[in-house]
Amino acid sequence: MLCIAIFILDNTRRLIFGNRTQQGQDRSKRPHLVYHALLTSHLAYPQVKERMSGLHQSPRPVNLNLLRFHFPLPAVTSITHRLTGVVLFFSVWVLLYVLHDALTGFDTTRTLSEAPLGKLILLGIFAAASFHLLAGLKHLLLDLGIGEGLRAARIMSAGVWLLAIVSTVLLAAAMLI
Amino acid sequence: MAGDGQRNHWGMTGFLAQRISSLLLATYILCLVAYLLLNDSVDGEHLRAFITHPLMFAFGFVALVSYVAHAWIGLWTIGTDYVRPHSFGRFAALARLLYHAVVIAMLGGQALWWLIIMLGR
Repeated sequence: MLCIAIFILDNTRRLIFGNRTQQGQDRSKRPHLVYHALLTSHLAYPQVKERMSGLHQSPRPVNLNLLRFHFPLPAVTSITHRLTGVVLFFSVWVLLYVLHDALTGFDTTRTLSEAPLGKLILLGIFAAASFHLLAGLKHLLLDLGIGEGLRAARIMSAGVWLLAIVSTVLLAAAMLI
Repeated sequence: MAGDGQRNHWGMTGFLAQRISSLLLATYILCLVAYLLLNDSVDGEHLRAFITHPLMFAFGFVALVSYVAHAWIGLWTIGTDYVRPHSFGRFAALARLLYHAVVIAMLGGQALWWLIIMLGR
């Protein structure tokens, strides 16, 4: 349990503040580095284990397992933008059905938006659309040369997540009332 | 195509199409959201009149064309990134062909359904 808690906390910290771990740091002062070394050692090549045990202070596991990478927040935002785009591509079928229903009586949509699963689906589509729109807006700002610095990129990415989550929570609250 | 000097302008067209269509789509969606927010109780009759108003219908058609272009460029990019020999080996070309066929069929189906809904009431 403690391991999982450290793992989640540490990854959250890295996500928000970036990977500030410097090479050659004393590992005894950074217990989570030892933890990471333990976690990744079974994936690493044998010579990496050798390296970790001896001369080199910085354990650098050699593997291309994307799940082991630490992505900075702008990168996570970028991949989520892509992901929500694909989600919306499939959601258009649902939205077209809602449009069809809206033009022929609105009965199914009313039923759909009263059932818990229907609410969840509509909320999910809204969340994806909201995020995709905001992240796309950030993209347009980047095209204009705004927010290209590391700090600005992090702040803007955090803003995208914040606004998307807030708007989704607001809609969820409105649905419950 | 990128290297032959004849057709390497497509990237710029795609880039611009992606941006312009995104703005048109965002405007259309924000129009709908604004309508839903301003009208507290969504009543089917009013919504119908709003969506099928000639101006909103024309705007909707522009949004549909924008959506098809936007989605195609986005999904095409995803295809070039992931449907590659790296992950599909010697079946990469076939996989890419199938992927493109599915995307085009879905986009065509969605556009057709929109037209049927809006015109065939």
